[in-house]
Amino acid sequence: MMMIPCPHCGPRPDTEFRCGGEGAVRPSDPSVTSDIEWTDYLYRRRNSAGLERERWWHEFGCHMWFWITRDRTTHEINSDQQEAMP
Amino acid sequence: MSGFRLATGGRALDRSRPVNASVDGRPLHGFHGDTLASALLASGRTVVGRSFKYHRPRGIIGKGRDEPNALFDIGEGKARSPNVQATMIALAEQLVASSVNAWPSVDFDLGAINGWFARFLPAGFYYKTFLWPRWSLFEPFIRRMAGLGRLGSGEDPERYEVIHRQVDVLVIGAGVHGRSQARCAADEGRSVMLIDDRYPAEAADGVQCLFGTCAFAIHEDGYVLAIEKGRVQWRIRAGRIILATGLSERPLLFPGNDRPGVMLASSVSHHLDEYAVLPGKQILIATNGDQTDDLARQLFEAGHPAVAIVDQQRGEQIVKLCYGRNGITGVRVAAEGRTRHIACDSIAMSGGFTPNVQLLMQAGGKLSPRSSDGALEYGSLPSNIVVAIPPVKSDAAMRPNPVRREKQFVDFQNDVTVADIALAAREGFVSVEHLKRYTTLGMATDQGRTSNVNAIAVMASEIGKSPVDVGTTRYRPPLAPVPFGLLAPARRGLSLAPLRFLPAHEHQVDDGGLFEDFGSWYRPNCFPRAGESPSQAVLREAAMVRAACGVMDASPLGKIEIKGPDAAAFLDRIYLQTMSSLKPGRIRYGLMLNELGVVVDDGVVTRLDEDHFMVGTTSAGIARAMRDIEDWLQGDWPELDVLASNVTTSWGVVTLTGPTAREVLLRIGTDIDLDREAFPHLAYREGRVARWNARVSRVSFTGELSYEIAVPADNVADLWVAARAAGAEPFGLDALGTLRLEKGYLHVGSDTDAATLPGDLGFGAIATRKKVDFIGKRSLFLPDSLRADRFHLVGLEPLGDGVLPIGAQVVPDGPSASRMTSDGFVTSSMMSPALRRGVALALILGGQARLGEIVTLEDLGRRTKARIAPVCAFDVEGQALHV
Repeated sequence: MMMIPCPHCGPRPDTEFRCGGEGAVRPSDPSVTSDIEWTDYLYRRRNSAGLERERWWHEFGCHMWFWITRDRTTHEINSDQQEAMP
Repeated sequence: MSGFRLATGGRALDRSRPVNASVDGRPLHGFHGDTLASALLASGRTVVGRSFKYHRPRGIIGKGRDEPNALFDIGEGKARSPNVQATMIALAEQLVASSVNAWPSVDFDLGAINGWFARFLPAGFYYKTFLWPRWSLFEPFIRRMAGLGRLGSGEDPERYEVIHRQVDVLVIGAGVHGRSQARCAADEGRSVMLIDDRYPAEAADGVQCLFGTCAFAIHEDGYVLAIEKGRVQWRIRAGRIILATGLSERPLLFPGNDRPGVMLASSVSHHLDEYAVLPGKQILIATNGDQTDDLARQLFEAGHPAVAIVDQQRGEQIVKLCYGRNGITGVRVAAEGRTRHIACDSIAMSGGFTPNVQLLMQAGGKLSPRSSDGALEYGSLPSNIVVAIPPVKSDAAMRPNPVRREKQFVDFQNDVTVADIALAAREGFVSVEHLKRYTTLGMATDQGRTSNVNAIAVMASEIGKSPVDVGTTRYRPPLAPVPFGLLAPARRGLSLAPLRFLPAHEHQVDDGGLFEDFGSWYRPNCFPRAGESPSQAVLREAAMVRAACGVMDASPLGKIEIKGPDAAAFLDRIYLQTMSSLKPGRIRYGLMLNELGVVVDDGVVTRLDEDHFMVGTTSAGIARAMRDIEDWLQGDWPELDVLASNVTTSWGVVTLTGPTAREVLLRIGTDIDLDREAFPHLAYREGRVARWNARVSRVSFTGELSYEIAVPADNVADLWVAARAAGAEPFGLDALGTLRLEKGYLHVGSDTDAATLPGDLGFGAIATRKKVDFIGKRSLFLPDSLRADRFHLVGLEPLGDGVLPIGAQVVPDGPSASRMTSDGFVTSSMMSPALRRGVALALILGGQARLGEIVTLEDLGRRTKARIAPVCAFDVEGQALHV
């Protein structure tokens, strides 16, 4: 049961949060985005078995969306990488 | 010869306090301080259980949690606890214990017939047998034979609790290493907790001690779950965890090593010290190293010296275990090419020691051999875990005993022998995960505590690898069995899924509401009157709304207040429809899409002012909507100057709907001008209703004149009373469903699925017309969104009487075949009192081009026909709305 370091509230149990996955930058002008670029934005993620930057939402807390870097196999979180959105 | 108690000694006993318990209906005598196991041994009862598959008689072999055989169901009826280890339970006056897996008794068990067929029941036999004519014929019989103990009948009467604790240092294991670690940490001024699943005589000062407590799970960031005395769940968050869980002894592998009378050497030593009990008078020590020298000395000093020590390391192998009616009589030992017989009545065996690393492995740790001497080191630890277990030599010392391998037991609980492991290797199941699943070793209640390492060593010698290369299976919590009730202590009955109640709940109960859980909101289906069935009530209520005025507590609908200079621009980006063109005091219906273009919610947007909007969502969709709104505002569009606030439960809503709704509202009393020109359909007004400030919207989900009156939630109950007094009649969700269905109004999630696009619902033109980008727009122009053969929402008119079943599939005409292509299915269906026939919506392939077509529907083998029609079946012009 991981402790997630919320930039606003400090480390809290992961049950207070919702994981937003790797996230992707929304194309600034979708009307000129190709089908491939758009579906990459929708679906394609690295999903590596190691360090990955992730977005988390403090659902049962301050409602802040923020980034952390987490190792998906050991669940170690690099808390000095956390920063608020964007 | 069987077990007996020495006249003196026994550190744990209080001989001045005798205890009487009952085992299988027979009395059992012992002393205060005895465990059930020590009392059984002392009384000479050698056979305490029957093994799972072969029903071989088994005796007590271990101590503490390392006991695979002596399992008992403790208690009776509801309070029956299955599969409790006799070594873990204190002998108590009212204790009632029943043997498991034996009938009629452990001493005479009919299941022993399985043992006669042992040759046909090796590991994995059920993959090759019971196949003809059908496995399903045998399955119930085999399932009944599975398992050991029996669960109590009825609901678990135990009341479980949860306690949370944060602590600097958690020490697991209160042996000599654990206690010293705990004392050191306490001396450094840290908060320390020490737990052990036994009851050690010595506690540690300055340290919180939890005994009779088993730490069964370890998670990230120092989170440990433990069960105390079978009923309290401890959730401990520790800064540092010290594992001092000690070592467990392994059985030695020789033919007949599972016979009653064979015990682990450390258990013989423990029972002698603590309970003054020995398993026999002529004990043979069988070992594979010098770890049993202490026991030999101990037995000598107790006046019952061992008859011999047989040491595999010196090349001595037991080749046969001789036993008679009264138990073991002796062994045949082979050494230096000769065999000889040694008489004995019991055996103390030792295959070496294994560190108890279950928690370490759960946390991702590893065991690897040290290069200097091959001893196993603990590595790959998370930074907050320290291991305080002495390193042990790896199992290079194992010399396989080549004789009668089908009688050398590795897993005592699941009857897995050395021969079974060799069979697995022959059949190609050499990976340790395959070995486990094919033979079922390590899958019983002890999770391989006494068997895993021996099994790995056997497989290693079978395939010519080192045990470290064979590896271990993945360790998962729980380490020992825990009751389900412990894991969800407060979540029983109504607390399992807590309900949310409407603000006017009590009044609706008084009005006779029949309630149901709708997405955790407790809402009335209908309000049956005396003598009325629910379905009659629904028809009456729907007809009443179309003729007079109904009242409903509509408070659960999502309400989000949006404010700021960029509010209008923001809403344009998140809705299919354009909201920035909405005038203040006006309302517009909108669809929310996700980025795939799929319709995920619908509702109305109300413009209160230039920069102030109310967004309405479905009651089920509010959580998702808030999450996404926060996501977009914080992440994608931080430049927008707008705030969003979820006010769903701050405002309650009472809906008045029906042709006489205006008269009812006037009777309740309001200062809002309700004239048709002053307050038209899809308009919004603020003012006083009864004695409260209210936000009133003319929005309709029934197709009749409707006023949705929003007041602060605390006032809803009184407003309900006022509405009832003014002549409005209550109606429930089933009637609402009928009314909206007659009008063809959408219910997202029922009439749409995870692929439904706006165009499938008839909103395709809006997407192409709206110039500004919005969430999901780009996806509406992907090839899959533009193809012609999509499922469209259409209405269905049944050709006969009756109501189409929801989920009925549109099938090709002609005889029913076992494989048919479906052209869609019925999504919603009710009996319509207004139309006096069934009314339905369906998602049908290419439906928008098939209006008027007659289709065949099949549901559970029965067929009906229906005509594809527009979604709105009643008052197509909407005349009732524009009054």
